[in-house]
Amino acid sequence: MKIFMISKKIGNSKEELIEQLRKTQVELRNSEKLSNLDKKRLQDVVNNVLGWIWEVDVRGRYTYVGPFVKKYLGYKPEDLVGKKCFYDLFHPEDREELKRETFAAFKKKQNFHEFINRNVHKSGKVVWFSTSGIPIFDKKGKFFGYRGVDTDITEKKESEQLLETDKNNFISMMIHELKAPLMNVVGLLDLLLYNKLSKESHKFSHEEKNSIKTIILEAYKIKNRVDKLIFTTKLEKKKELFFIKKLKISEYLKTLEPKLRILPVENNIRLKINNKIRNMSFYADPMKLEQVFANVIENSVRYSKPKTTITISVKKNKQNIIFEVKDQGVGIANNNIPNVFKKFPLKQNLLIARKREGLGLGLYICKIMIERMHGAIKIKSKRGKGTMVQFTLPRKKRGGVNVFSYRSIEIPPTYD
Amino acid sequence: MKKILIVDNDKTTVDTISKMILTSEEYGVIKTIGAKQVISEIKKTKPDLFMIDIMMPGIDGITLSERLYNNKSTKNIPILIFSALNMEAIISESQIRKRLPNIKGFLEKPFTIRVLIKKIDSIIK
Repeated sequence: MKIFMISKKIGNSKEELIEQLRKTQVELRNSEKLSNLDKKRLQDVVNNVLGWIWEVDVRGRYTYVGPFVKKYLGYKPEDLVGKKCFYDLFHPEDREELKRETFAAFKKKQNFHEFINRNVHKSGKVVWFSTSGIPIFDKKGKFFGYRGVDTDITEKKESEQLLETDKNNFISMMIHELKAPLMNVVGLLDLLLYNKLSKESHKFSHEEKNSIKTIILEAYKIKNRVDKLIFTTKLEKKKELFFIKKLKISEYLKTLEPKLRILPVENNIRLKINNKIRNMSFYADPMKLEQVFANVIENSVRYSKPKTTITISVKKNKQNIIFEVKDQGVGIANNNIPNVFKKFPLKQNLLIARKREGLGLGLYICKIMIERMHGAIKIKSKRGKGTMVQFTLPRKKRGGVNVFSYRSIEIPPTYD
Repeated sequence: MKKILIVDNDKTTVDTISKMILTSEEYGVIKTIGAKQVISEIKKTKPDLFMIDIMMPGIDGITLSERLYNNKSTKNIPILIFSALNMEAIISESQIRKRLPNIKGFLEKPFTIRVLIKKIDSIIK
């Protein structure tokens, strides 16, 4: 009767299922009392679960493994019990992170559910499991380990990934569709400007020429904004790669300076670089840091009063190199400072967003980039006086050379 | 006069770029739309430079470059790749040059006449 109930319960929630399985396991092991028929029934129930049952000790070593493990991982129970820990089966790319997460959960000695993990089959192929488990205690109440079930979700995971690839391909197609017409806008305007569209010579007035130049620059703004949106999505999805290198301050600033000089041309705003530290190195991705500077300075220019100066200064402390970008602009109201690093911080105040152009992504992506390079970013500002953005980068190497380790470099067919 | 073969799947783009090139009065152009047209065109003429767009339906620009590299008669003709996607997003330039040494440069769309002519000059002048 009881066994009949178990099989009926299969359709119920996962937690109930685990509880039932736990009992089944115990009963299977103490099954002397059960008839052969009962054993067969119990076995059938266990067989019909899309997964396998396990027990591990406090250190994660297998103390029991259900026979169906072979179906999912290719190993026999005796290959694992007493010989392997659960994390040995994790995909090497995820191992350390998942190991940390699991042992953190073990410490709490609570039930856990649907912990998604990537494992490697004996043959080398990838298998995805959704793992649920409960802590086990001995008779004296001492924590003994965990017991649970790994459900195979590889098929689901693979179709999800396929969908994601499709989505990425679709996005790159859309980007292409949005940006491609700009080639003709810029090209034809440039031809107009050079007076090369017709054989008859036609002189444009100074005003007309300037208008054409402005339209070209506006077209580039569209391009840059589309690029920024794509870049943000990539950063958020951790698909953007970081290549952290040792950089010498004076050399880096020398290459950076001419690139920054072309930015603050509007409103006669000057750019000054103050570097008192010459022979010192720090660790960053030079291209990403350049983007941080460009974004911060672009902001400063946007909020600066005409004929003022933007100053970049370099300082140091024991662990870090400190960069400061200071402007004499309109400043930020105190209550808005906590919002500046948020995505689209201006959305609460659309009036401001209308007055000052921009996507509201600049500082948000700066924060992600700086943090991915093991640094920190903060902002100080006084209404009417100006704003200072300060970011630090480590003087000593931290983490791997390539901070990004979760996924290997992939080149999808559409070249996005 | 050196000839440049331009290929894109968008006719307006091919027309615009060819007009941009013609401003220099130093180069001639062959206009093609889509990779298939390139393949039939090269049976008749051999340009001095290919300008190839990446995102084309059917045969994309990288695959086309590969085919040109694997064809004896076009193996040594330099290629200038251009795309609306930025190069970093595709593959590092050094990586692609290692794989396809016939690719000699990359331009991100949109570009101006000055940038275009400078790039072409640097490859075939």
